[in-house]
Amino acid sequence: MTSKKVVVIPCSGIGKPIGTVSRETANEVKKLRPGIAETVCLAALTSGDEDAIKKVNDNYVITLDGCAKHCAQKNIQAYGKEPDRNYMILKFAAQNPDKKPEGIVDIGKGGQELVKTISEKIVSDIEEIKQNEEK
Amino acid sequence: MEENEKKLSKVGIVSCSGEDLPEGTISRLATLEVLHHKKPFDITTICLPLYIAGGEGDRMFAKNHPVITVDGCEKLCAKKATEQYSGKVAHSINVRDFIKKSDEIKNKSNLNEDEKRITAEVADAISLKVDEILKENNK
Amino acid sequence: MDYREYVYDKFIFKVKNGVYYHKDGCWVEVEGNIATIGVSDFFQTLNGDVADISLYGIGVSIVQNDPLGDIETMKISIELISPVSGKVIEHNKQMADNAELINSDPYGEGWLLKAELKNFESDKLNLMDSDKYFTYMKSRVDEEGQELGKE
Repeated sequence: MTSKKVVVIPCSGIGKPIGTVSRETANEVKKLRPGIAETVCLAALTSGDEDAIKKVNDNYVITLDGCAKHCAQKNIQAYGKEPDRNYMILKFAAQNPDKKPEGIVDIGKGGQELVKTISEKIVSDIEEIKQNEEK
Repeated sequence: MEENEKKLSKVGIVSCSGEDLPEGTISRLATLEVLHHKKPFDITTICLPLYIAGGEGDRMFAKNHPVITVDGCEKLCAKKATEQYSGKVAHSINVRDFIKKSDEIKNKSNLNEDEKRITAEVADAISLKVDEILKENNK
Repeated sequence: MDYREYVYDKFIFKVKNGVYYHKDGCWVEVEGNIATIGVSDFFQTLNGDVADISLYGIGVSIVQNDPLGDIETMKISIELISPVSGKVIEHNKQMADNAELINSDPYGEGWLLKAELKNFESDKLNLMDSDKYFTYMKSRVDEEGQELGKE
């Protein structure tokens, strides 16, 4: 069995609450699946950091994009790799209108619930990725 | 492009948002503090990943305006990416320079008192630098 | 496609040539008696990331200056105001799963609906061509500019 991890890369969207949701979701997934899920700084990839690039190339990659700009996905693609899964936080927000993030600094109760919903979906997909790996 | 009119002289802030380290959160929150409260009319934030993801406006702004980069660690991602994609950086701030040995830095959200204090100090440092740069440019 | 661009801070606002604009944000492109309607680049930038959209149904009449649907973004829920009078004949099917096209390509793949026109010569009197809209948009950007990028 390989020891490939699942690298979760959120967008950084500093100007938008869904950017913060993206970041907090990545951290939540890492907490829920310690030892399997890891995060990599998108900024490190943008600046060409070798450690970050190696981590992305050697493992499964999940990208979390806040909006239609798809920064996380495009930054991975710039290194010749396609994410194993890509999630648009905006779509989750649209499907869960009662879980709207409130602010950029503090996403509030609605935002935290959105983080929980998305994290659960991602963790379920991580299980699927790892199960397929074992086959 | 028929017309390209520049409006206003502002300073760009490029912040790392490093998810791997609490210092990335401090960098991000300090920048937001300056954007929302301290210098809302004098700065524009530039999203670092947009340098690759097609942010023509962000790249152009950073080329044509002075930029302060705010980094969370010695990798200096914000500084390096800005230099690579847009040119010289007016000033570089590293959150690590504000951390004392006795400070407890561990949270990526729900900051403790040390982390809040450092965030405020970094925000003050950014604001001071913004003032200096604007004063210098408007002589 | 031919555009004019206006740069404000890090924002580049595009105005598509050859279409007409309503002051409340919709553009309309006319071919024969059929209008294609969408929202302007300024509208999508100002109002933020689109989460959901609902439009008047096929066969339903729309009236200039009255709503033709609603748009929900991460910032706001807002009525879309019709730039023309006529009857809805087609929706952009991509909107069901990819409403974010409104943000990424407002003049192209982000179009909203097509309508059969009732009297475009009359509607035109209440619309701006791209030159007039560019001037109008610039003044709106200058008014709203400080709030852009701060959600």
